[in-house]
Amino acid sequence: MTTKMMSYLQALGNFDRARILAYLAKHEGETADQISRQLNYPKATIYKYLRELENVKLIRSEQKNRKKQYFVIPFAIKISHETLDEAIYEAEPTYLQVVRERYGGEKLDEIRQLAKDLKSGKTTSTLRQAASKIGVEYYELMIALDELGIL
Amino acid sequence: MSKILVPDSSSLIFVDRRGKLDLLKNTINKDFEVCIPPAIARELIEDSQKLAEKIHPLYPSVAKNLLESSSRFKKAVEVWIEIRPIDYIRYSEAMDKARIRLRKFDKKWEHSVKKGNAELIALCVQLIDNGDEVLALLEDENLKRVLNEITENVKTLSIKEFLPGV
Repeated sequence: MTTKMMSYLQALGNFDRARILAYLAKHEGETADQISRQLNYPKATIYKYLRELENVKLIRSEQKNRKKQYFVIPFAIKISHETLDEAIYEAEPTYLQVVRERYGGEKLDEIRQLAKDLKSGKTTSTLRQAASKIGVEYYELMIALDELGIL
Repeated sequence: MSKILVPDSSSLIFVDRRGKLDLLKNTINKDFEVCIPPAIARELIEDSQKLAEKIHPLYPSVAKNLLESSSRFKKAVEVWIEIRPIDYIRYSEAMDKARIRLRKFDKKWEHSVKKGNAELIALCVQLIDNGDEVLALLEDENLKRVLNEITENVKTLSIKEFLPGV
């Protein structure tokens, strides 16, 4: 629940995303085109923000007549000094997140692939060589593999 | 003749991340001495510290965990894990042999073989030659294979086999 709160706060911490959400709360079922026109944002920006809001489950979409309509998922956030502290503690990043943000999603995919290969006994290099091949440090590969349940 | 445990960094990282470094220490205390080569010590202490410094501005809590881990390893090598230097002159042949065999995995030149791998193998060979009984803790199957190709006298186990329930 608390990590959910953090993702809500992160999503709503951006004024544009919060504005889109507020607009959708009053205009249920609108399409990205309609929102883009009404709020005067470029379509690409609207799609990006809608995707982010959908990812954290603040909105949902439905396909109707080849058009995607968006709806707000009701939510409520209760913040106090205690719950915020708890939320931050719970949302502490895992090392996999650090890898994604430090090197990008591709490296994370390579690590996940390595994890799969290790599980099925298909690896063709030692772990130190694998780290160097992927381009991450050996120590962080060990932590990432541990988080993936491989060590 | 001593019974010596040679853990790879992966095994020690695994144990430390579960807060069980002391359990490992207490389990082996009576039966084994614990030795690691200098390259493994560098990975555990210096590399984790450098990594923490790099990521600190963006991920202070993760960096803090890394630094704490680095300090625990530093303390461990002061108290119960011995950093055993490799006799590079006497064991250059064993190191070369290890490098050549490790190279086959990546089709790279021997000099690109990671130091931790080669030193761990060389230390095991050195200890066997000294007449010690050696148990290597390895999570890396390919490294285990190369070690077994080079010497049949080293027993190998994964950390979960050595410390079930960790």
